[in-house]
Amino acid sequence: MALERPVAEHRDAAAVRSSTGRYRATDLRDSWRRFASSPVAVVGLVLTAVFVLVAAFASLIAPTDPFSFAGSPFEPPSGRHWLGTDDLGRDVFAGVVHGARTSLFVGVAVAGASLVIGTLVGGVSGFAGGKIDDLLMRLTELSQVLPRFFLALTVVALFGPGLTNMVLVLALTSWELTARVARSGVLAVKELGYVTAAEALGSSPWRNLRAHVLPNTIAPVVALASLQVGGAILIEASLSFLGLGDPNVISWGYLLNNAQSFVRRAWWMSVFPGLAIAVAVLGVNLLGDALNDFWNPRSRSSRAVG
Amino acid sequence: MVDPLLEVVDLVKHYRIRASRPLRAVDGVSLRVAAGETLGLVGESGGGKTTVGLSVLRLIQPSGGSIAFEGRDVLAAGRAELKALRQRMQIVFQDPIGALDPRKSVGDSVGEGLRIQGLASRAESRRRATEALERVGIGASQARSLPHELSGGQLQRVGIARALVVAPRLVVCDEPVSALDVSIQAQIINLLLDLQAERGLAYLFIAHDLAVVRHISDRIAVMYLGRIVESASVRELFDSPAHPYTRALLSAVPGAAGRRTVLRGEIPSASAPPSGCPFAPRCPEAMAECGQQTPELKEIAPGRWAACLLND
Amino acid sequence: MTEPLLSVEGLRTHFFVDDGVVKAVDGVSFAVRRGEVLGLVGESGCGKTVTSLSVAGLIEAPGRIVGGSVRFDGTELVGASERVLNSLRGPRIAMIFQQPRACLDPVMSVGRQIGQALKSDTSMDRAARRRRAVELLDRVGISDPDRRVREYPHQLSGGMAQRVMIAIALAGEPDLLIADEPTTALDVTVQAQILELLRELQSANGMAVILITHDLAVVAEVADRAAVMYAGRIVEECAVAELYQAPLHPYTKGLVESRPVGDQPKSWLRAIPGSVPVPLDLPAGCSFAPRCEARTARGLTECTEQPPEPVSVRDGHSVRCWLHG
Repeated sequence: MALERPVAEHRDAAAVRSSTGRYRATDLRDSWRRFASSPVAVVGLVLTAVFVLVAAFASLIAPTDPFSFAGSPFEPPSGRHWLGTDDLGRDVFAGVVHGARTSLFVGVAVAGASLVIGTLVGGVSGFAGGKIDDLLMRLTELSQVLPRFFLALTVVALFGPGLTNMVLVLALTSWELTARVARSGVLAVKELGYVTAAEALGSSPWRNLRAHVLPNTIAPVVALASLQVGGAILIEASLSFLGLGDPNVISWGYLLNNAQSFVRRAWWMSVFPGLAIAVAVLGVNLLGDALNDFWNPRSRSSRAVG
Repeated sequence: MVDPLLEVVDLVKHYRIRASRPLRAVDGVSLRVAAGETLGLVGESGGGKTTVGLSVLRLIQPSGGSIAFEGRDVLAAGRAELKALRQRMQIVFQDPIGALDPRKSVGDSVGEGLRIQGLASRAESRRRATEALERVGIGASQARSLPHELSGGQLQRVGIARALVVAPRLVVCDEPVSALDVSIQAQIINLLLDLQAERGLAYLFIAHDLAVVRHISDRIAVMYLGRIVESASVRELFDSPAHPYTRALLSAVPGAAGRRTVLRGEIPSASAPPSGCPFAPRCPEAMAECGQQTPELKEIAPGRWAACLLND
Repeated sequence: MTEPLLSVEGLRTHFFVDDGVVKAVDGVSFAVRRGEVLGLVGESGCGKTVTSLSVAGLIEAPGRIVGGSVRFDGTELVGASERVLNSLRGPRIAMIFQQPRACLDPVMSVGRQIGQALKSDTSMDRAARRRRAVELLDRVGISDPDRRVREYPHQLSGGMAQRVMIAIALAGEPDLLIADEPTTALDVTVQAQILELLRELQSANGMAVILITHDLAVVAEVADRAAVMYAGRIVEECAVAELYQAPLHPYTKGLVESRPVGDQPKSWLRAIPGSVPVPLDLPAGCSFAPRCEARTARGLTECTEQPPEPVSVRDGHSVRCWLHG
């Protein structure tokens, strides 16, 4: 006997909880409470905040130029050089702190591009439908099958190492998922009553897309884009580690590349930049996951009941 | 006879799904709605009622036929003319929650039509939206609420206010009470009746609930499988239904008096309609010729139309 | 008088959500005798479905039965082990729901799903179960059962799927069938078919039925007795004939009168003002008091202070209202 649980009255419980808030201020507070109730979200938020603050105030936190010689080579961590010095006597702490900037820039630029391109392609694709949809989706599939890492490798090899090239390549290959999510969101929303109602009031398709469809689909797309920050940071670090990064820009991958030959002799040269990468990527990924859960309609309804 | 407000002639809507035969959602529907009148459109799900309603405002593009509103051709209207037409006719939907943008206050949703139509400035549209909400029984203090903060009945009032704020002459009501609780349905029906009396609105009232349609309509058209099988004044339709399907519908209502005719089977798929009269396979009174000949909708008495060979 | 098949006493099922306690069912008592059809009527959120899930022991977190008793044929079900409940659900207590298709496994043939319900009877082998499945399909009015038994749920129409659900429910020859809005999702002509089928099976098998619905007319059609629920409580219980002819509770009256009937087109309907309360912060006193016009007309003060207790007005007719207290 099929004893599937009907959901009708449980939805009432969900309605109960949402009908108690009356003003938007309480709504905001409710949302925050809900978000902050998950430990994953809080840890992600704190780690990301530390990462961003370090990047923003790098010159204040570590006034030393990371490329300048600050002491003798291979000094172990000490009061003077908290994280030691490298083979040329450069301060590792300064390197790690300033490297955060590069990683943050790469991460945000790639995620931002993924958000903008993905929303545009996915939004237009889903809203227009028909041939335009087919065309844009084939394009998306094409982008999906491109091997990001090797494409980045090739571009750097062809056009020389440089942060701009790397960001461009990563940006152009990272919008496929956001486009898909944006498209499916638009497809779902554009069939809803309020979009038809606005159309019945004389709203043009473009106005409908702008005023109703995109605002109601964007949240999960943002969450997804934020998940790409970590991936971009890792790829940048990997390329730099292979010596294909920009030699004029300090980055965690660059530090690691430099540390390769001295793993036994100066463990601090590799451990701290590695740790920085791990912590930063963990932080943004946790935050992205939390945002994703928070905005995902399925997890929301289950949470409303539970 | 005066020109009707809305005249639909031979409306056809086919959906092509893959390579199979087209789905004939609406298959030659003609109807008229006079100013200030309510035409009830009844039938079971899959009968094509909603498709007719959406076609009237050209929210879907019909495959054939003509629709004239205030004498103007709706299907040939250009973009600007269509926009102007949509100020004069409006629609209220079945699902009151889905019909409102979850991120906009209900006041903003109601005022949106005035802004789109360029009828009022932002401040003016806000004032008129509040007025319209008060008229349907939503206090000014609730104009700033988000849809999820209101009950189903309140949301349907908001939906009605949104349709009325642009001062239409015809409102298509697509199952406006069927998603509501029984105790709330009567409130909404009363409201629709009041507004009609006050503003001389015409309604195309689509519903599957015969009791509701009977209460609110002047005339009723019964749809089955994309066609109108009978249309008549409310009294005539209920007193002496001329089509076997109408008779079956009336007797299927729980609590209906008299001997029940329980129909066999269910409404067939519109992609594979039976040959001859589409109702014949379920019809308790079917004759041999019903399987071959498709009956036309004919005037069987002044103002009474039926599509059934029994009436020939 | 013999003991009823099912007796529910003071049942309270609450849901513990972030914002507080939703008292979905808050002191519900009723009894169902063998072979009797009880209609449980009410609007969305009144607790009728939660009541039936509580009876079947299917309440899950955040919900919990916090009080009361459910006795089925001498066995207490509140607090009973999952083993006991499982031995009753299916063979003795069966359920059907509003969305039959959602309750059928889409990748299993109709015959196998009925066969699963028959597995508890170990005397039957596969072939016997298949034969029985065909019999059951035939019994619920599905034409060509030999063919249908091999079909999958997506090949069935809504009415047919509900017939299959009924066949599955009947497989164990239950003593009690709980039917939760079994015809709400169906068209009116199909609804008539299913109601007729239910009534016929009920009288043939002598099983008891709890019919849950929002539609008074459906209750009038099928049930022997009716219990009207409002905000987690039964506000009136009586024989179905009295429900229409002599309703006592103002809410029941409102429900009966707000339905458009008969011959007065385009006239005002008697509407119940206000909206169905949210069971999170119910008013003190009678939950219906804020919407009750009879209260204001009579100027009663108890209504807003203390919840009324059920009063037996005459044999088999009880009401929870200060007007009759």
